[in-house]
Amino acid sequence: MSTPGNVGFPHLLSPFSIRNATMKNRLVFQPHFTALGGTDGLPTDDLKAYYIERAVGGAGLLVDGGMAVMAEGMMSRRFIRAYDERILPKYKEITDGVHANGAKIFSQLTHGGHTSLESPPPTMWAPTQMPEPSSQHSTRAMDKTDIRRTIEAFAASARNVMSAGFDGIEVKIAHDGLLRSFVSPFFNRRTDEYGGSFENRMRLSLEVIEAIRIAIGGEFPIGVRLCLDEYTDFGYGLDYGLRVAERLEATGMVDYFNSDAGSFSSFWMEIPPAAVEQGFFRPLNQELKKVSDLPVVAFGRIKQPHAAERMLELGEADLIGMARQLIADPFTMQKIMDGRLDEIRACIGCNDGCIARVVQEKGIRCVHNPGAGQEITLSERLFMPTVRSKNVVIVGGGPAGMKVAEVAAKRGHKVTLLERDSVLGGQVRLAARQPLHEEFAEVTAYLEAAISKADVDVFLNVNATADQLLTMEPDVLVIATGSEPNLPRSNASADVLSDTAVSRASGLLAEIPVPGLDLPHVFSTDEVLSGFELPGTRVLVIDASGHWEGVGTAEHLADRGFEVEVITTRSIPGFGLEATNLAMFLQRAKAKRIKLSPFTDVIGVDAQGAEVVDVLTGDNRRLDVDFVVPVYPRRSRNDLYLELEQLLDSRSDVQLVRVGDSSSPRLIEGMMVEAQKIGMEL
Amino acid sequence: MMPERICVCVKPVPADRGSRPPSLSPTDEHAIRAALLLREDAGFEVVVMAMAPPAAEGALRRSMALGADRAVLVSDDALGGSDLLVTSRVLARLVARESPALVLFGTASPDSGGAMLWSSVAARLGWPLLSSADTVTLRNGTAVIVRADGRARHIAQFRLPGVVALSGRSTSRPEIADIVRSKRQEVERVALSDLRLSPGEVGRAGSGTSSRRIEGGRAGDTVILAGPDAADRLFGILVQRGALVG
Repeated sequence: MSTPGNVGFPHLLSPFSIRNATMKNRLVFQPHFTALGGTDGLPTDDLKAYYIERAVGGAGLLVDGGMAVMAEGMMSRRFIRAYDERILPKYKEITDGVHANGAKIFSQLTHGGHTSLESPPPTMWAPTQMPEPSSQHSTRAMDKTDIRRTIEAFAASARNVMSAGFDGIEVKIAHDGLLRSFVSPFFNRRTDEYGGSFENRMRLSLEVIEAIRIAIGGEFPIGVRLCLDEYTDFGYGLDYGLRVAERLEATGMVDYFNSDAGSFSSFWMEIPPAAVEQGFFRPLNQELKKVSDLPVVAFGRIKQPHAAERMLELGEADLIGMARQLIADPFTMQKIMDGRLDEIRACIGCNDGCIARVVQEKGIRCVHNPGAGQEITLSERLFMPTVRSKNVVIVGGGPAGMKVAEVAAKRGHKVTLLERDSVLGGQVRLAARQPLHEEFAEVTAYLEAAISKADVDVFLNVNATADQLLTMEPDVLVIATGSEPNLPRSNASADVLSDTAVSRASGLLAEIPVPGLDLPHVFSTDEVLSGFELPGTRVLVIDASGHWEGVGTAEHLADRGFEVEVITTRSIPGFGLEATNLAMFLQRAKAKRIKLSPFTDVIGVDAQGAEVVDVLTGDNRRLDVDFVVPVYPRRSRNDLYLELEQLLDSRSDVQLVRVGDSSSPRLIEGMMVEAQKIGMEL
Repeated sequence: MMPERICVCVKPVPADRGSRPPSLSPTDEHAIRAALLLREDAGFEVVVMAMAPPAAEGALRRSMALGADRAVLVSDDALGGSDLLVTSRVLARLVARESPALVLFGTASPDSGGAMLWSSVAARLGWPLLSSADTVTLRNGTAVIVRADGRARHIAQFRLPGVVALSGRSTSRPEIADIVRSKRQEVERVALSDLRLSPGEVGRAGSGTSSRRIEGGRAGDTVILAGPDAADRLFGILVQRGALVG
């Protein structure tokens, strides 16, 4: 049905059929490993809630990823055992729930092959014995029995999952797993009938698809998630990928392609972070459409509804695949249909909540959707209207304060948000100024739109004392005053340090035991990113925090023309970054001539620079620089909270809560969960 | 005897991004601040007023949190599409109800920047007008303004009542006491009929001029791209900024 809100998306909202499966719209929740399965390989209630949430949110098709066809193909202990009948009861609940909400669900079947998320991995199967170059672990060259068992396993698993009510099967010949390794000339050096020629390398995939088709019959769709370009020096490129597609299509047994790229050796192209531009993979979809008559699902950092609509309109794809966008906002499609585009919570491509966790076999999350992977307890559908509307006063308009404000106001509390600065956003605003991090600002853009729609009273440029706050007669006082760099002085203003004066004097905060951090040519990351005028040409960045605050600031300085050296005591600056982000940062650091010095500690900062030591050899060296940017874990701005705690000591009529960095400085994900819980419990 | 009331006419406009509700611009805040300074001297009542959609109520509440004593909003669907002359008629009627000694405007709203409204309001009221004022003071029933253009200071005055358009921008720092007080107050709603105006006299129906279209748009960032992948990168940027529509 067309309403004024959705007239802009005629293609995205039109139905689409593949064999007997008719999707109500063109949005596909792309297959991915969620690590929400149990370590017994069975689906869980968390997994069920995760998929049903996306079905409720309006996606036309969900493709369930991370399902292994045999024990030897489990890429992780948390993969689903597609071959095991014990998965059926829970999966019947999942497929029923998805269907009840108008969506279809396909099962993506895979064999982990030469790739595993476990460390050390179990025995990994491959066409030819060799480690995947990103790994130090070798493989087992498959014998004929292994190959026969694998083909049978795909067929048996397909039959098994279809009996649970899935609407179709997707075979993974994609960025990881066994089937692509057989297709890939680099990984497949066999000279028997499964290697040596193009046709022989295709043989295993073709036999698998044929076996599945026989197993499930002719009416159900079978698709292929196909890696079109391995994006490595040694692997295959787009021309070869298209040739694979043509061969698969020629069988007449494949009903659609879900395009894909990358490999474990180029994993930043599998799950491209924000440093890869949106729309980067469009040419791959376009070329696939040129050679194939089959429906194509477009992939790769598609998140904007208008871009998705345009790609369909131009005929570059038939369906639009989104994974991370629907992790960040399961209700993206519903909001498109309602014309509430400004309420969509956009994926920021950080990879910190989703990929960073699942590669460690931990349940999937999203840094700014606390409900992701925790739908049972934290879905926004559980924001219950409050029985008694409380007067909630929040101090601090960073992400934590805004999140509490959003949730509390949506539940019907009267919320007033006070921010000391002239704009909302806190540290997210600074983070968004780092190179290639513009999208981070979408975290606060979402929250700003949400709190204004929820009628939160926002006052900027307000400096409130504890006594003044109590004159507002709050039922709840939420302190979200954030954190600051842990340095003895500030170039910005002496006021800044007064936020923590009491905490520091009371022994609640430890200082960094490095001499010279109080010198005038020491600048904090906040000062650098705020645009402070900086002296000279050479800078030393001390990375003791390991995330973007250090290396992102270093890159910002390099872009401003400074000669940058980053030291860390650990094995690499940026040691805490998610792997795709770290890999791409290292590529850029090389191009931008940022000097990275691992295993290096600072002995002291002085007027000319710093004295540093190689922690492996014990050798000292001097670094002559014009200024120093130390990046240590931050300290909470806690004095206001401490004062209020004292004032409210004997009172039970005001609930005092601290949230976010003012509770404990950390990455955004943890504090968003904390803020949402507080908002839900008020 | 000293005059008792100052009216500040504001134009709440949406902030630069997304769908956020209308807010006070720095030029509006500057005019409110000037009125509050005059109140400190002589104890006037400061009334902030606007002709705007209902969503502007929050901005008017905020004006009370900045210290204004009252806020008045005239809002009616029939007002959509009002041109300068109609808007000035509505505002002049609104001002006349309050019988103020002085009317203050900020010199330009950030959206359209017509910068003529105050002169039209003054003409309708038959009151004197001084514009581009840097400061305004009141002395013995007279308004005195100073206008500095970099070379000279021009000092001018009129006998009250009258209209002053102030140049300058400022960002106010609300006091908690004012925030608390503003929460107990309501924005006064005035209907067209309260102003003795009929729907046919206002909005598109009553306006002699109408806006045909706006070409160009806001100045954006400059992005320079080169190399064989420039088109793809440009597409990425356009998608990222939400610029690719239909």
